[in-house]
Amino acid sequence: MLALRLARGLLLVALLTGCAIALRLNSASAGFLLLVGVLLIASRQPLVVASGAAVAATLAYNFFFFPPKHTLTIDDPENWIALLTFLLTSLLANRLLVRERQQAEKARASHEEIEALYDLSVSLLRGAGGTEQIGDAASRYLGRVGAASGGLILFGASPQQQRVLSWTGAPMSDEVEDIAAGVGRHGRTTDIPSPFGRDVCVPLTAGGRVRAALLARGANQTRTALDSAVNLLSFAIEREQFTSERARVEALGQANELKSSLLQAVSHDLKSPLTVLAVESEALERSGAVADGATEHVRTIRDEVGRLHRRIDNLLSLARFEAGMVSPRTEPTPAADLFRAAREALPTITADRAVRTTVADDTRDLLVDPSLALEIVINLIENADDASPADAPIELRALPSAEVEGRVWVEIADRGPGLTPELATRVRAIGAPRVEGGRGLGIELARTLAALSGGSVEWFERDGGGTIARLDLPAAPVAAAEAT
Amino acid sequence: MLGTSRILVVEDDPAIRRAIVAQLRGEGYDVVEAANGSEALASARADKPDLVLTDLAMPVMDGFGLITTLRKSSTTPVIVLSVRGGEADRVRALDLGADDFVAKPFSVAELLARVRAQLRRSGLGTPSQLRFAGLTIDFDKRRVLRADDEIRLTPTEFALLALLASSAGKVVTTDQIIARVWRDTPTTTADTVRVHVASLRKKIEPDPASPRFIVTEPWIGYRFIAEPLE
Repeated sequence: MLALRLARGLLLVALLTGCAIALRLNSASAGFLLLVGVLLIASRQPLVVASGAAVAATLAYNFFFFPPKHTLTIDDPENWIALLTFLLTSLLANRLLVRERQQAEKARASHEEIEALYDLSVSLLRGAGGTEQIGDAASRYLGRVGAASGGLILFGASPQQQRVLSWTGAPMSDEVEDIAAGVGRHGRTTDIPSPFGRDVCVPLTAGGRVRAALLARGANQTRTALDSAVNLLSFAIEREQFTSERARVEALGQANELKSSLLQAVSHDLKSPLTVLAVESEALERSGAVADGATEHVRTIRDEVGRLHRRIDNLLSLARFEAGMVSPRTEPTPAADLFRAAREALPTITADRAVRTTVADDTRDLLVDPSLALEIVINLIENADDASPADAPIELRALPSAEVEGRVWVEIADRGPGLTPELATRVRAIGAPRVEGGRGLGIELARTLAALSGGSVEWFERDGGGTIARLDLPAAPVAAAEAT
Repeated sequence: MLGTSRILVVEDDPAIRRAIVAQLRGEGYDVVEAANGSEALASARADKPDLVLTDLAMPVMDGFGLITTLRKSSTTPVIVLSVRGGEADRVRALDLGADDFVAKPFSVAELLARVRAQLRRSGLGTPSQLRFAGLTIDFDKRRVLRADDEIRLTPTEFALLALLASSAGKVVTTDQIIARVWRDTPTTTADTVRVHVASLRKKIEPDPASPRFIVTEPWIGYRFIAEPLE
């Protein structure tokens, strides 16, 4: 290619020399004509070609126009000066012209790069968003900067999990995948020779992690321009991820609002009739208008309405916790308060059966969500009541854990049949089937609520017969009182 | 006063409202009804009730709006009916000026006891002595008798007991306790209150495992539950 250009330059010099001879120009005019020819070549050809043409023109000038003609010698020393001046002028002018032309080319390339970057930024900012739009913008950019092939590759959880967002030119090969994976792993740009010229692969970082890689094969842009393009694409990917995350959070918020509304509606629709039933049945009992034989039936209705109400509360609470709408709110809670609240919540049990409470002197307050802890104790007392003979008292005890410092044991002890094979199976099984009535649902609820409270519940055989349900719960820190 | 007291019941659910009204009338109270906050305000102006019993979640004007508006011109006791787990609502209602709350599902006996306590408090001035079953508090002599034995309380414990007992039946929030008992020490925390309440309980409760006088209202404060002797 260079030889052809040089040949063309020499041909032009030969033509101009021929013209000067044919026109019988004197040496000064011939010199100007040849100089114009050399400058013409320098304005279009590389420095090597222009310099070769300048040397050839100097030789032709000497050979044909300085006496003795048709030799490469010069008699008159003044002609030496003229010839050297011609040579130096043509070489210097060559150099100046070539440099000027190179700067113009550089300026044009920069202008094109800026235009390409501008188009890229407009494409990224104006569109409706989405990763596909980012991919399309990357493809257009690579096309504009003359890449023979290339595209944008998104990484999943690892660099091996690649998703080609856009690709242009020659098909993607395994080699390209390996290059992209390497960039994803190390987060550094690779620049390696290839059949297209050079393959440049640049990582796109967003949120402190390499999210993608831009691969350009044979592109003519500078590294600075490529880095700028990558920065724009990184911003776009970060913005897209932020937008997606915001949309996800908004969707979650709407879903939570929906769940909340649903739970409130369920709660209201189920609990309002039960409140009326509870008030009316209590009123009936208090009125004394019920025949003696029916009093027990009214109390049973009250008892079961209360139990159903608590079950609904339990299940709604669990639904709220599981939906992440609420989380346990711990507060230092004296065990005595917990026992008292449980007794008040179970008037029909405490009316018929002795419920004894003891709190060991050195028992610290519990660090629990009081409403959750209360539900656990209520469920366990109901289970104990179901299991115990009519005249057997239920004992509620609170004491420091004998096993771990900073824990409190809350025990509910009954005189029922103890750990029957059925109960033993159920309390030990994880995810045991829920059985309505008796110990079934109560056990499941107690276990789930205890876990939510940062504790656990276990069942043991009681000396002398019966069962001990032991809640292991965190103790509140000991607060020091000010001297007053 | 109890037999002739007028109670305004504000509840949007007609079935619950009917049930409550029937119970209150059965106890001899004069009862007026409202289905929302707006109706309740009109009734409060026209009927001059001695006590307001209100739900919180209602259409048109909810219980919070009712309490806020009512408190601008009235000191009528307000008892709030709130759902279980609605502690944040209870605290908000108390901060707005409600005097007490009853959690649904409530027992009629509990509701009537709260009503009696509020009506009694609103009819009382500042007594020089309060007597409960097994406990006597003499405010003038700053003495406390458990049964017939004098028990020694620190000044803070006495101030705490005096505040809770004089508000018998009513919940007193931790912030109110700090403001009234520790008025000169703004750094006092809920933990400080907790420790002093525990200490007070040990001294006045016959059986600390079964408190008869002071109980904790989770996330809110404390309540003196014994009813004063006439």
